[in-house]
Amino acid sequence: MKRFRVLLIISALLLVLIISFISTFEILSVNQAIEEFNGKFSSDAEKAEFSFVSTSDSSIIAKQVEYAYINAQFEASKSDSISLTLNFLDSTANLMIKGVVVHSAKIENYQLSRFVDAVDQVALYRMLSLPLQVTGHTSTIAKVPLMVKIAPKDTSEYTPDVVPDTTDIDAVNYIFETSSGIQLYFYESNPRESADGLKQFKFDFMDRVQSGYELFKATSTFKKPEYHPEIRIKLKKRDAKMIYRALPENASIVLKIR
Amino acid sequence: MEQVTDNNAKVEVEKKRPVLRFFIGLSITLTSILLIVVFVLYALSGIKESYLGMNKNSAADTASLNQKQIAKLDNLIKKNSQKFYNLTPSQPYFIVNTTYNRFKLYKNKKQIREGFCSTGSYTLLKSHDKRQWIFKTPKGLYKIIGKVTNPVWRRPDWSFVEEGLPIPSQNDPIRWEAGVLGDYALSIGDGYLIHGTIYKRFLGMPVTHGCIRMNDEDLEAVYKTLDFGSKVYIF
Repeated sequence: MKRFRVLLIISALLLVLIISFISTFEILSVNQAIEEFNGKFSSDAEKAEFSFVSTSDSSIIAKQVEYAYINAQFEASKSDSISLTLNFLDSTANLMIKGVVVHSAKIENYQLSRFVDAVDQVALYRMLSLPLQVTGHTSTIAKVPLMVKIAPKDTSEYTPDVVPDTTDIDAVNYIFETSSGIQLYFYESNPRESADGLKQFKFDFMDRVQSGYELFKATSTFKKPEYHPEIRIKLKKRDAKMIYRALPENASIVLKIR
Repeated sequence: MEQVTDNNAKVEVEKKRPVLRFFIGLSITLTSILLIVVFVLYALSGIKESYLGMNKNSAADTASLNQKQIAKLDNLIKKNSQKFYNLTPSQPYFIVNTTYNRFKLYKNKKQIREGFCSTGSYTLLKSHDKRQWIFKTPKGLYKIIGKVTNPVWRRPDWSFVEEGLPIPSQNDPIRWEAGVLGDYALSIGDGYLIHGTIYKRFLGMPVTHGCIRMNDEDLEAVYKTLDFGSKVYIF
């Protein structure tokens, strides 16, 4: 019995030690990410018409956010490709081509990382005044739903196409990694209404496992793990699918936060 | 006799003890590992967020704006908003959604019509002579560069390959087919057309070779509303 107690105490101590060790490394990585972010957006863009200031005046904050948002949209409109704007103030997600809104969707729910409150506010406005570039993506659906068809050798082999299956059977969840380090998670809202709830849980779980693996890999070699602030967005399945399929590989994304 | 039985039972318990210990040790180890995994997967993100919440960067008035600077900011917002608003054409334009095969027609910046259409099927057709075609509708901004009534379709090579037919010469009259594109066709370049269809039951589905098919009434409205140079937004 005594040995059992000792074993229990040692296990508990080890557990606390490991958890503290991991937490410390994670917090160090968060600090590093804040420093890197502040450093990356420490100076105004070339030919900036206006220099952002740090202020507690809510009306000036609102104006600066609005200015940054319009600026970023304008920059995104210079590109020929389709871009996405995420306005968290009025909960809208717009697909745009050359500044024209081609589709507008309601953001059903969202979760912003507190990272945006922890970084230098001027650096944040500077980041928001330029579109983010998508650098990578993971998804439960194909970006290009290509079907391969081998041509018939002659007319005897030819069969006319059947009506395509257009039912939305696949769960729609995806992650965009962006140039600023922010990761945007898109989930379909109300997945439990269909059979997509389990698929969403699996998608989210696999992402957490991947992050956990990266964390173990880094901490086991006494390196700081990479920290990526997250924004989690819930959209209707149709809207989520439309947005994912419409955006090109290196799409521009504009954010309006605060 | 009773004492002998007691001793036997004690021996039995003594024998089982190492097995019991092993299982207790194993369950403690497994529980610890499970706790660490659950912590890393689910609790750690909460800890990071709590830490960020504690480190909230309260905005300091490093350089408060004077009235002149505020007026400048207001003017910039107004000027850029106007510039941005002007990007939306006041001339009629057309939007096509290739994911759900819908269209919207705009005039004076207001939607005047919407409905079903058919766009590219995303089929990759492979021929036996190693040629291949992808049947998709291109995305982005296009302009109307041609308008015709009673269009006649000139069948491209893939149309014959797809049906297992021999490919005729470029000038062979067999390539020309009337009546399959509806009453009107509008060209957006690179051989892509907005046209009618005899396969109306497929409207709202991705079945075309890249063109945009519409029903007769919608096509007529689009043809009469859009002019040369009108913008077509495809996403």
